[in-house]
Amino acid sequence: MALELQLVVNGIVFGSIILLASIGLSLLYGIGDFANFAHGEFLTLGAFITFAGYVTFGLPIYVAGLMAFLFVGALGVLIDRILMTRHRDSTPIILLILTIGLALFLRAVIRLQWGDNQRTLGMPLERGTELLQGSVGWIDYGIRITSTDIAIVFLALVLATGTHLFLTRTRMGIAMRAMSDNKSLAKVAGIDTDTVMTVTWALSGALAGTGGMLLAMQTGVLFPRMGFNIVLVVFAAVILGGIGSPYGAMIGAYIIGIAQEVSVMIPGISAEYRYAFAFLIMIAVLLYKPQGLAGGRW
Amino acid sequence: MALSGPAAFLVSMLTLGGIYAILAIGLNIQWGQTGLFNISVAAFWGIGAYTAALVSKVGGETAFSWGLPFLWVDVVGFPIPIPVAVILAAIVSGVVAVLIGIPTLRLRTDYLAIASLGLAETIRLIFLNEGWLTGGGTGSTVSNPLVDLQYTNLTLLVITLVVLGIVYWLAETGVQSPWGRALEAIRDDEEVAQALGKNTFSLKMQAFVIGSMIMGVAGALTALRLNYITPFEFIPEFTFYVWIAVIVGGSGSNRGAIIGAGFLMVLLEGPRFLSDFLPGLSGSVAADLRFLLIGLVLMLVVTYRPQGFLGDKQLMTEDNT
Repeated sequence: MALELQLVVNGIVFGSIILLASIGLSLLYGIGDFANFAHGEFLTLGAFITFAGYVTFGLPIYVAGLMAFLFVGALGVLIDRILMTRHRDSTPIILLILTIGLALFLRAVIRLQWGDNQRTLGMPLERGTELLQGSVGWIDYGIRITSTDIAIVFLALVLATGTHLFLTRTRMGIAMRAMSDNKSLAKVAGIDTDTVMTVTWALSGALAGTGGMLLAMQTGVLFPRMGFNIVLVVFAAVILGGIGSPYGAMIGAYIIGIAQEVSVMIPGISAEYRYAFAFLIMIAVLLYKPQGLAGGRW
Repeated sequence: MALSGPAAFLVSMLTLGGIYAILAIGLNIQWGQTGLFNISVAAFWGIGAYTAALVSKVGGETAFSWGLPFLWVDVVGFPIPIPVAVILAAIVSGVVAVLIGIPTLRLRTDYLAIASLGLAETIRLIFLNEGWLTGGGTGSTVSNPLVDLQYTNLTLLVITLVVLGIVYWLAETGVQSPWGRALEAIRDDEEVAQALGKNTFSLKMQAFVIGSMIMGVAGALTALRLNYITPFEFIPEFTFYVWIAVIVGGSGSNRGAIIGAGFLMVLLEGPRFLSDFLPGLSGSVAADLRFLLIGLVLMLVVTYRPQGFLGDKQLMTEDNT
């Protein structure tokens, strides 16, 4: 069995999927100072918009993905303008409860629109290309990889790079980083913090929407709870990387992704518990290194 | 003769409302009184239900089928009310609460929320995957002593209301004691409480464990209500039902928690009646509308009236993290 390296490869693919969600969640957490519990529903919505584009309208998959990017990004703006502007000065607790309510609301809307049953994306199946084959001692390094896997990793990295350029090369991106560092100072320096918040919601939503598309491409099945099922893993990646740091989130996503897949090999623990493994890492980080890997830096 | 029609429906709804009220009082001790943002209510609820169901089972296919009495001990034909299974449910919930509390209760409010959701999801995975213990996805039967009675549902309602009364009395007594005031001090400013020489970790642990034990008792009653329990009765989403009750009723008020549970029942059962008036509305759409309503109510309440009906406004609107 080509297990060991294959698990690492699977971990990199899964890490790429949660990468986009993690960056968005971390940005919102850092800039808005709250945990967005509706982030899982952003992923689900991205997946279902992709489904609508690809299956219902018969568009090419990447056009459907672009729809998910734009639609969930626009939803982020809408949520910020309608709901969150009223809560600029609310406590983290109020914001927490607010996003929980939002999560339940969005999931109900998804269920009303697409029903409770599983949907399948129905992308053409492929067997995957054998990249390596052979073994050294007991380690078998044969791995199989599909073109979908490569596309997922590639897309995630392109968007992560794009986010990096946005945050470092544009005025808005620099304003976002300033606000994440110190909100009052940013305000005094003349940054329109209200607009920055709206842009953060848009970016966070768009990235999560694309993450939902990648998730749908990889698993092939869609259901209303799919985003909620992995949102805690996304939280784990964000916390491991260091809350508020998108770069930390990138590292965190890959570490959690790989750790979770490789945990399948731990004897005596069945594969069903691989999410629980991510939670354990998360709690350990919260206890012993709450600032995460990035340690409060960007 | 068993009850039927509207009377049976009313009894069933009052029982469920009573169970939610017990859960809400348990959560209120943790959140309203002490400021612990616990989103693992469903986990302790489930632990209570599974414990009571398993230990009272007779020679079943799962572990711990000890055939212990659920509600009363038979002494040569006379039932003596010693609810062994219910007490064990509370104890097991309490022990798990200690184990979970040790790593998580030191965390900041929002981290505690995330960590407790993670633990709730882990416990749900255990219910689902450890078939030798819980019966797995197919669930577990409950040896319900009430089914042999003439008025099964009415008896359960009476038992639920008695338990609710005891829990309410205990919670109110606790709130008005020095212990309750120390918890409030932690909620309002943990550092001040610490400076005054209070062992805040120990006090938080006490509140967390007692609240979780109350949830465990609610679980044991739920096992009696359902007769058959599956992991799907204790999904993390149901935690938010209890949160609705506490927030709408008013964080920090036990009376509010009971009123909130009543309001929750209206929210949960309202869509069902809607489908009587709107013939085009199917059952599953009504269920989705229920979640829609719950999400909407949560958002509206924290936006326009964060203190709920009877709550403490300061708790919700003042930053003390």
